[in-house]
Amino acid sequence: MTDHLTLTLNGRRQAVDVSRDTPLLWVLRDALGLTGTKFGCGIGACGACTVHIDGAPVRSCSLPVEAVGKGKVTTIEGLDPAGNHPIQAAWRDLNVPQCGYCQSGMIMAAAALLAENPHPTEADIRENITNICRCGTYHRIVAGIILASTRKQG
Amino acid sequence: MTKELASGPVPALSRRAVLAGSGGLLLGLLAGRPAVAAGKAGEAATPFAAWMDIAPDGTITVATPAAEMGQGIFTSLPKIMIDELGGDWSRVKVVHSDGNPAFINPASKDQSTGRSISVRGYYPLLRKLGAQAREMLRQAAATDWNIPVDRVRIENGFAIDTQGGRRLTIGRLAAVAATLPVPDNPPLKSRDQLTLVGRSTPAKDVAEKVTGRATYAIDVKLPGLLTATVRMAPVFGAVIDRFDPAPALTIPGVVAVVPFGGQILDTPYPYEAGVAIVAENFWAARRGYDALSVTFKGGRDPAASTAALAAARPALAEKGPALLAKAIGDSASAWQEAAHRQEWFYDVPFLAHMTMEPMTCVAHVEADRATLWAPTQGPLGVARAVGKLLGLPPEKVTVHRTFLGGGFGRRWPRDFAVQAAEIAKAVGRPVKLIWTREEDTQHDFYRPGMGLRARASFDAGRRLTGLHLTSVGPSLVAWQRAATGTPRADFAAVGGLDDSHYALPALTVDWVDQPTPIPIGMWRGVGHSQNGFFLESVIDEIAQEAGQDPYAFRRGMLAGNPRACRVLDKAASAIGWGRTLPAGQGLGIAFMESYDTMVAHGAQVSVRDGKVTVERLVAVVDPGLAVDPRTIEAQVQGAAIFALSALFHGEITVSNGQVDQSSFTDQPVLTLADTPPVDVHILESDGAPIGGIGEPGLPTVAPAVTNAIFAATGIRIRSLPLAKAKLG
Repeated sequence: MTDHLTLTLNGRRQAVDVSRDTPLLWVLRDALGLTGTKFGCGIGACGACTVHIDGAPVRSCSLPVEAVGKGKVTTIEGLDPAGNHPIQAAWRDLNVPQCGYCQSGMIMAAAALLAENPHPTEADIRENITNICRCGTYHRIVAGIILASTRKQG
Repeated sequence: MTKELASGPVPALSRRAVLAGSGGLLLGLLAGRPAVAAGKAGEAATPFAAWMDIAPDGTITVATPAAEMGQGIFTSLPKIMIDELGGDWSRVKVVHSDGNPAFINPASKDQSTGRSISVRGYYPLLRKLGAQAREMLRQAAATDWNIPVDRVRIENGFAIDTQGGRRLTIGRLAAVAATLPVPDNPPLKSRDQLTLVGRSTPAKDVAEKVTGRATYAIDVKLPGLLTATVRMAPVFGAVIDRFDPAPALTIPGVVAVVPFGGQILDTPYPYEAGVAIVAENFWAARRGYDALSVTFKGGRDPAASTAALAAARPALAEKGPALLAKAIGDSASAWQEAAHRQEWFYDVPFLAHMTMEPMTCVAHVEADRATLWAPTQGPLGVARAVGKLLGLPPEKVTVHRTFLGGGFGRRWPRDFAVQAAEIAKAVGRPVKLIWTREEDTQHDFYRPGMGLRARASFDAGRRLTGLHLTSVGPSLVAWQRAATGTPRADFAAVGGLDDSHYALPALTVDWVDQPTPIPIGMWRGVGHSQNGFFLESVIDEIAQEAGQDPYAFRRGMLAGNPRACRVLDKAASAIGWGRTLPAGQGLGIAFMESYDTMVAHGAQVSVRDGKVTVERLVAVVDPGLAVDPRTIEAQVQGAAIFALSALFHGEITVSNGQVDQSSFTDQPVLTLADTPPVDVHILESDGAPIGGIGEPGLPTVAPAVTNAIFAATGIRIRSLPLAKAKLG
């Protein structure tokens, strides 16, 4: 059974026909072809699927699409039209990604943190970024968020 | 068991860009010899393998033969060739080559990515190819300008007339250069002429990876593509007893339920039996997985237990039979004649890889050929295994490669690719296979659980007179290829023990096989991953028995090796060795060479109420030549985090033949909150062989930390993970 739903996605209204229990992640990836958001565990543990709903970080693998309602969904594709969000720019400058698979989720989590707390301390970052990276990019994630916060202040 | 499948021809699949030839200079290997293909080389099946294409517009496309799995190979391999060429790094684009025997690594004789061998193995060939292209471009410019070739220099993407000052972009010369003979032995630049190698250069995959555009196998899009997920036999080696496709087929979107597997393909690698749920999208497949009705029977050992395996290891060390790996002097006599003897037993558990991208693969099988989009560490092995499954010669199996969402050795076996091909063949449409995290955790090729018995002999003055190390555990080789010839000590069981730099008075290293029904494979660091912990803990124990400072004791045994001493000394000074710390804190140190790279770690820990906190790690790494320092720093920090995950939490247990853990919840890994500072110091050694970098940063992390725990508490950690240790 499919349902006709409408999402606000990356600033645009988007109609989609899916069953309403489908997790947002698979609506994005399979129904809408936005594959930047990744599948890692399916239980909200790893954060590879992190997107924003109304600016807050959400693990989309565990959120049925019907629960999104009128929430504004932002994915890595919509974070910045040119891929130049301060977090993305800092990530490039410090070469944060290794395999890169977790990085869309990482960047979304970091961007949400920065939006809420423009000048996070290292302790704030360590407490708030709970996404998993198996390559071990954590040191550069901290450095990247701090670099982005400095520039934003700039 | 198949619902009606969309019928009709599958639309032509878009081919990933192999270097198709831009009309400029396309340089590569033909039957192992450098050659040029002018114009378009085209299909992957062409025996010519293009490594570099210099287009008329000056863009240089480089194909990397090794897989990018986070180790930075997209940057470190191309820069070697571009530096020798004199190309403009900002104009370089990098792509994965397809699987093709013309891309084999001269050192490993395979196009595989692992053993930290990519830079080490490809370095001379990449320099030569870059130099060949440079000489051809110089000649083309000299002819064009009608000047002697000695007057032409290639620099930063330009041919320059060193006397006249004229310049031309190499793109303008490429088509003419392509008509010239490829020189056999072009001169190579000296180290001081290199401008990319030895410096950190902008990474070639980062722009895609920060925007979500990087393509992993899970992201591949094809017309008519179906998605499959699999339920595998929970007991290793079990086969399907009964299954009923009907419940899964009632799920909307599920189009087929396909049993598979159970065979052994090109190697002893098992290919587990299971059932695939094939659907229009992943969520339908996942719901079909939950609804699936299947039971399995049998198995290699339905009673298998990691606890029983671990319990049996000390007795096996006594009983043997032990295969000798190394003997220096006579440690048996030393033991007999010792005034003082010590015996310790160490043990480490099975470990999973837990790559962030679970196993995935895309396959399309046609009557006379197969095409895969595979995140693999070994595309030629994939082609062989898939070919064997389908009855096709390997050259009829095209293996396109995507980025790997983590490798760490897990993507060396080809079970996932064979599975995708078998499912795709059954449904007659292209299939994207996506494992759930639970299946991934329970069907890994695990780092084996291993034990080590160490017997140290001392004279009356408590000086070490001999050391006998007996490794106990399964053979990694036996899981990769059929046994041939005289039995030998397994390389992974003794790696790191039999190649130590320590000048020991007498040393015996041997190994007792403990066959296991649990699949095992390469895991970052391979044998050194456990033997670093074993040996460097034992060395600390010996220093303690001898009443010596652990750093000074190691230094004494490395006295004949100035390069090793420099690495160890730097780690000691960086961690502040010798200073007094508050109660409950301690320092530890460890040293090991692996993959031709020397590494020492210093650790500072605190232990409060039984809880260990790593306050700080320092890593000193000497890979001989530091091709890209920033990548080295990332790899060494990443290896430390990988090692700390294993040290604190890593343990896969098997009860009644099946794995007990299933995800990041019951097999936790390190998160940012628990990550200590890791300061990386890079040393170079002129004339030393180029070392690997993906793995050598791992083996000495755990012993540096556990040696520091001993310094802090007097408690010696001899069994991992730390989560099981009683420290307060």
